[in-house]
Amino acid sequence: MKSRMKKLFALALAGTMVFSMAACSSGGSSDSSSSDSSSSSDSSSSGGEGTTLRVLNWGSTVEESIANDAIARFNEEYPDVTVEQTCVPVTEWSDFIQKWITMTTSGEAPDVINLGLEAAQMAVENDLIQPLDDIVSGDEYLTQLKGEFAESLLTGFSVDGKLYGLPSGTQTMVMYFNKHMFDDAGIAYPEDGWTWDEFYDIAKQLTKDDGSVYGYGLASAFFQLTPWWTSNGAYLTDDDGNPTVNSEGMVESVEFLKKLVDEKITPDPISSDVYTMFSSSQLAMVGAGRWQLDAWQDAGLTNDDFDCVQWPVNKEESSVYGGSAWCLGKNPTNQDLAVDLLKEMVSEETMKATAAGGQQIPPTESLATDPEIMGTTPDNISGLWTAITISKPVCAPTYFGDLQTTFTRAMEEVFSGAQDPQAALDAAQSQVESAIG
Amino acid sequence: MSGKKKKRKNGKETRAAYLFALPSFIGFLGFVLIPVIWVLVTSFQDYNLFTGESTFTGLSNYKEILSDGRSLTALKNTIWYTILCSIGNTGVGLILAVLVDDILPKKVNVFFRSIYFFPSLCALTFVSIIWQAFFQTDSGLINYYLGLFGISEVGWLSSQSMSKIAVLILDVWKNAGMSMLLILAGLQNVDKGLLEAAQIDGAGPFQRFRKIIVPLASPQIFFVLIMNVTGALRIYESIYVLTGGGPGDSSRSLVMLIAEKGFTSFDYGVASALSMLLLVLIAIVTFIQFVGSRWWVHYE
Repeated sequence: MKSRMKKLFALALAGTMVFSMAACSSGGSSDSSSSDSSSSSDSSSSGGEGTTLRVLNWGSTVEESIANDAIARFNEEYPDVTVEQTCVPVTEWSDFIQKWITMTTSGEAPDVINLGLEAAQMAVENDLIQPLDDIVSGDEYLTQLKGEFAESLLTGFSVDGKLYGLPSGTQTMVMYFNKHMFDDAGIAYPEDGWTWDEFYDIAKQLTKDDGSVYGYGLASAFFQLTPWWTSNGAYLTDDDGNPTVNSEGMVESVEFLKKLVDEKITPDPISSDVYTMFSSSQLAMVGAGRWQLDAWQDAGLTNDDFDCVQWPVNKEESSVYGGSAWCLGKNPTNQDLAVDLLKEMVSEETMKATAAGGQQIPPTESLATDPEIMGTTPDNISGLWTAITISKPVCAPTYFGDLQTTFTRAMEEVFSGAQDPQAALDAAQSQVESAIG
Repeated sequence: MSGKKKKRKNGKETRAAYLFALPSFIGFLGFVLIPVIWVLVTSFQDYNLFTGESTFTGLSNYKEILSDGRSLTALKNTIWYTILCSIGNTGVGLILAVLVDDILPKKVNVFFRSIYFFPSLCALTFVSIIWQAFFQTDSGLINYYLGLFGISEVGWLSSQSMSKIAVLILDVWKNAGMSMLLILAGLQNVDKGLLEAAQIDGAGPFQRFRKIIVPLASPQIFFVLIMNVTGALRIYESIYVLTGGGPGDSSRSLVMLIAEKGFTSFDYGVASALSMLLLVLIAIVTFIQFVGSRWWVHYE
């Protein structure tokens, strides 16, 4: 009898263990979201009379405190309104959407949202945000502001001709180069409009055989790779949003990159930290936006050391832009208050603070070309704004999550030598097609 | 005390015992059993995260994962990790435990125990940056030193054949210290008299290890092995921070694929079906371990 009890007990215990493990497995990625930080600008959550608005923001503590300052200004006008900010670090936009849905299903849907371009179509498709056209046209400041945004940025946040977001910051890719290496090799600095062939020749010349210097540093990431096909007239989707991962132009672009990898003109794109390599003079050229400039200057780079030029051209002059915009939730707690809060988020003061944060490029020409805000390093810093005006948005259809993971995987297959470009992109195309059904 | 009274008291004690067990049972119910049942139900559905609507689709999610090459790759990788990570973690843990048991002076032992245990205390996300720098193909530290010995560059993170090995190295570095600590507790209980007697009878160090230390510490080693096997079946963090599952799918585990299907593609049905697959795998492996343990684990 006793031993039978013991056996039963052991069985129950084993069962419990198995189940606990399964439970852990299905929540595998929960730890990635545990670093969420929530803060409340007004922690004394009112005596029940005031309205509570919720802001869903993304970024670091810098972005969080910039938004908190904006909320404080809003609270000067509406002291009775409590505004709660949730600021999450974003590595993948699908995580951000996940957080949003969690908030919504637990009855705390955000009213004002800072949304990345990558997630905009997804949010519109799933009816999470509302169009802003009427709000903008009925407001003097917003109408004037809208006129200052780069047209390309507004396009990125529009769906079917309706505007869904007011840009707060943007990002692009230009080609940075190490001046000393060009001088030492007697090569003239590249100029806007230079071609892929010129780029290839220069990069090859500047690569040293002993592996101490590479002509170019390729980073195998979705955004960073994009200018290589926009400048080849290719794109990951067609005008109707259908995937065109294995189009002729795409394959040509990837074959070009594969050639750079095979000839060791670039270090291994999967494992290399190209931005550190550039600042430690191991690379002659690297593509980046504004986000690296602070780090490079901290590492001691000055105007004498580096400059930037537009992306090399094969078929058309282009690059990529991304960014984020403030949007209004579908059913805000209080529409009028939410609109006023949105206006504070895109007020001149908030925009200037965001721009001074140093990571993003401001979304209006006047701010983005203002040396006081953008600094004067490198010499051609205004080239960043030029790049935005000629760029295409980072490809972000409603199925962005699937497209990004599938495509990034395909590029790894190519760079690790497991598949040739055509085969990898064919496979990626059919995987994306089956994922979107 | 009369018999009746005793019985009543027993009933009271039983009730108290149940009450004490209740909180953890409620926790188990709410956080484990009900979610598992929910996952089981979802695995037969097409669940729309945005609208909350679900439609019954029968076995189609299971058909999808069984016909998808990616799930099979992830399954193969998971089995690879389960075998090598658990052997690595338990084996290295056992060796370290023997080394820091009582061979060296006490103070030196304590010093090395702390050093070997230290990785278990670090958050992997922080140290992953250092490991990524170590593993870089063209400017990494490991390849630099290998180069000094004339070994050509290894694509630790960029070649499909090496990525799992890089994850294995990180995982063993991270977890072997914990195994060491647990096995060490078992070794401390080994009767030193037995070892001395064996030594007098002419048993060498390896024989003493094989015939005395391992059998006597086998309950602890078994516990550590179970922990490591179940840990390896659920391996996620070590891969996420190092390779992200790549290049391609070469280092992706089942849990990573579940996370991708669930939280990137928002395909909860398929993610749930994959979770059930993993559940069955864990159940089978755990069962085999318990049955197999009869032959080598000695409880006193």
